[in-house]
Amino acid sequence: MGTATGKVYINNQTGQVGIFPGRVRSGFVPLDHNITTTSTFRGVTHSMSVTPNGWTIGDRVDGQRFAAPAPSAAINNSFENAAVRALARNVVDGFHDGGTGLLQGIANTPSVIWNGLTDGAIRQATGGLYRGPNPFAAPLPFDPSNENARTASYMSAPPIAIPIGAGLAGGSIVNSSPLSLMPEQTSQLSPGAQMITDLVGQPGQATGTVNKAGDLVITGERFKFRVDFKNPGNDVPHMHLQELVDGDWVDAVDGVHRIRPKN
Amino acid sequence: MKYYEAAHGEYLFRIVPDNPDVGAYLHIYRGDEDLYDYLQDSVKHCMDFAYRKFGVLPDAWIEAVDVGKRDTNL
Repeated sequence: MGTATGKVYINNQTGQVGIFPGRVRSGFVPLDHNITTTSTFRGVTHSMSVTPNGWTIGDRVDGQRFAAPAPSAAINNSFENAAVRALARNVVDGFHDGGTGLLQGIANTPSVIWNGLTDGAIRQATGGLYRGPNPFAAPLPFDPSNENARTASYMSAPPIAIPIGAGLAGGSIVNSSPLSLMPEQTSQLSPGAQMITDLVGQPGQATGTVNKAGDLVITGERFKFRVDFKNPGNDVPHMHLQELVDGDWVDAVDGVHRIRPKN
Repeated sequence: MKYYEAAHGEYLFRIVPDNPDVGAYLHIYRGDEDLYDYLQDSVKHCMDFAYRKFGVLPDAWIEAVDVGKRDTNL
């Protein structure tokens, strides 16, 4: 529904009506009667009622209306999709892992800031939920036993290299740097990490940003992964996986709008 | 903070711009229920998405400003 108020003018040649805050367009004269008609917005026809003092745009004439899922469906949709669940867990564990790894090894100030921020957000939001062993069967992006090799890789990482699976952020990611995988680590990716990179992190095709709340947003060509830990709204801290479909970022999995970590 | 709101049936739609490289969030509420929050590329994308997916007409949006917390002692 939409309404507009003001003196209505009509172009009797074209059938157009308009409300002009300033000069009245040529060809338009004051409307002196009521009109019940339809109007099309981007291919969808709506009922429309016009009077000399404004108009009201009504429902679609095809009767279709927006019907949101029941609240229970919107709220209790955690992890119905195993792949999304595994993906979310791997990403979160990976970024946490990257935070500790960075603090151990790399002397890269932007990376430390980035990972410290992310690590802090996770701990702040969950009270340390993500510390400790991976609570899910889904494999971690990297084998924890490979700590030395991973730290060594961090130490040798070029400033802008970001292995998403390991959560190592480098360079000025806060300024939307491209994400890329370090070649020497790509071969070490677990299935979970491979899933992440397949979705959002193909080399050179994803960007990482931090929103105003300080939460992470990773955008690939087709998928967008983001967390709402610092500003989850009226909900518990959660994550989203969105897919670009016909120009819109929609839920990547139907019925899974928010991904809520469970412990 | 500037944002946009549209009433649509029993739902309140709100668009909150974030940093330009992040985009804008489309929030959908029903009463106190925080039903959805979609991140789109821009405010315009949010409005287009709200129209295509939920039927919110483009002229239903009003611009609003959050004036923040007021100091009542002043």
